[in-house]
Amino acid sequence: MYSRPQNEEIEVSLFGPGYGESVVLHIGSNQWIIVDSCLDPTSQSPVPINYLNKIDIKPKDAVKQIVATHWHDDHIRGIAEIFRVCERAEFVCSAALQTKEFLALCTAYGIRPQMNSTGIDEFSEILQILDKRSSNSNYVVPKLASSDKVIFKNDFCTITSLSPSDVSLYCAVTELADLIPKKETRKLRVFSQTPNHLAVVLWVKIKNHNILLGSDLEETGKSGTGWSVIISSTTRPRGKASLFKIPHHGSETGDSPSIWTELLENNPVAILTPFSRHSLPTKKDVSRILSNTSRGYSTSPHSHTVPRKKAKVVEKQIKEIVRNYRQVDYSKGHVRLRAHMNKSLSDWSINLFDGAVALENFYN
Amino acid sequence: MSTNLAEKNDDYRHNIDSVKGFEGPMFKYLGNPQLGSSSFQEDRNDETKLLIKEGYIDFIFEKEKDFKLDNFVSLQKWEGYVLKVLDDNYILVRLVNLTDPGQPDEEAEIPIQELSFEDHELIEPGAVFYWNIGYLDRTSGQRERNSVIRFRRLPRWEAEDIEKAKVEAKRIRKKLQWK
Repeated sequence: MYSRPQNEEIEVSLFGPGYGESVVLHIGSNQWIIVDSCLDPTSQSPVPINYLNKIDIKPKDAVKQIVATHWHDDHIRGIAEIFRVCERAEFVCSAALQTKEFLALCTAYGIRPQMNSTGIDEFSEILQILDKRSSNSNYVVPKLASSDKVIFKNDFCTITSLSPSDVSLYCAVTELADLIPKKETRKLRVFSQTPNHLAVVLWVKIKNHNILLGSDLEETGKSGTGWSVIISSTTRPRGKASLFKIPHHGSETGDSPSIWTELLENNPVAILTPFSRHSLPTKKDVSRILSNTSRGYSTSPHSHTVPRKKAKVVEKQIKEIVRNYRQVDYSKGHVRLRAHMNKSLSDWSINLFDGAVALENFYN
Repeated sequence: MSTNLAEKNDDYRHNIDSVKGFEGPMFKYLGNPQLGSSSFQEDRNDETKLLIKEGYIDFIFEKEKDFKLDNFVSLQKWEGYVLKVLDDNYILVRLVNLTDPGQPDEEAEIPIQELSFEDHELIEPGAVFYWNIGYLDRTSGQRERNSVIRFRRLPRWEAEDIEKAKVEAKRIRKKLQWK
């Protein structure tokens, strides 16, 4: 069931614990790229590393690049650990995260004052690792992703970041500055509450195959940001993708009709991870996606996860006090797609593991 | 009365404006040494003697030796944080299980009226709290089901912390080079 891909086989593996996701990409010749990270709900170790170990790949040698598409908690849990293990890999993040505002946020929260891991903690750790490695002669300088920038290139693969746009980067300075602690304010857990327009969208070209990894990029209504600026770009790579990682859990804000007509082939393979808090994708989202492709897949089906049983007296008390009590869905599903890099454009073989489903069965 | 003047800060209070606020079930008001009203002059140590002389100790409280407190038996404890303050006086929260660590996080909507009035000013996205559910065993022998939500009063940011963070950010930004 789990086997390593052949040298000339492309693999895109999407992992989703319901709330967060990670893409593990084989670009050929045992070279791997990891995009974002999530933790195994049982072992609390990074899913991408577990997977590579399971198929007998040594992450330390095989992973060439690690991309953190944005800093939201559940997209990068475990990414510092991945970076620690894959010590020769290049680290790539949104150009917004190199601003002095974001770095000040990370350094201020460097000594964690409170609870379990946050996106800021992960980045603080990444910065510490980079700081330490930067004194070594073999230091791999981190790379910043922004509109239409080549971030990886070898003989058969080119990866281009399509976002964040210049306008998004400009807005980021103000948004991130607002999160920097102010004198005399109380320490809080930090998380972003604004629509995500700083996420890094990737265009992966491997020989004849184009893959579009949509991260969590959303439309914000602000011109010069989101998907509209990618679609209208004259400097982005040409061509259409046969495989699409749907952004932002299939939500309407992460979609635009032009993505399907301008960036994707007819009837592309489209994959997503659901998001339990907002019940994404909704039934409407699923219908919309399936009107664009018959080949949609999700890492897990829709579920309203009932929290684990507790003592009766505790359950009674909870019931009396709260409403909408639910467990965050951490079920770890896996959609795996493989294609021979020399064969036809949309010839993807699809395998579903650990509860992953075809999108048409998402609400069944 | 047998006087047992403890010589620790935990056991007496000094330099306060009023007895009010320090009276409680665990501490019993004994007197004001400045007014010569104490009945325990002989028991004090040198440090206390000096504090009284310098006028730092205004009121002395005796810790009740055999005082019994209600006992809380915790059955379930979470650490949580506020995700969003909802329009209808509820807060959406994320809960991390401390009783059974490693279990998936939970989310819930809690009515603000369930929180102590003194915690209301702390309610904002990112605010951290503890939620404890269990039994309260009263000294009277009664057992009650009980839920306690307390917001953490985390220290405030000081200008010095923020300045240090900015200097460190500048150093890292330069050192890492980036491309």
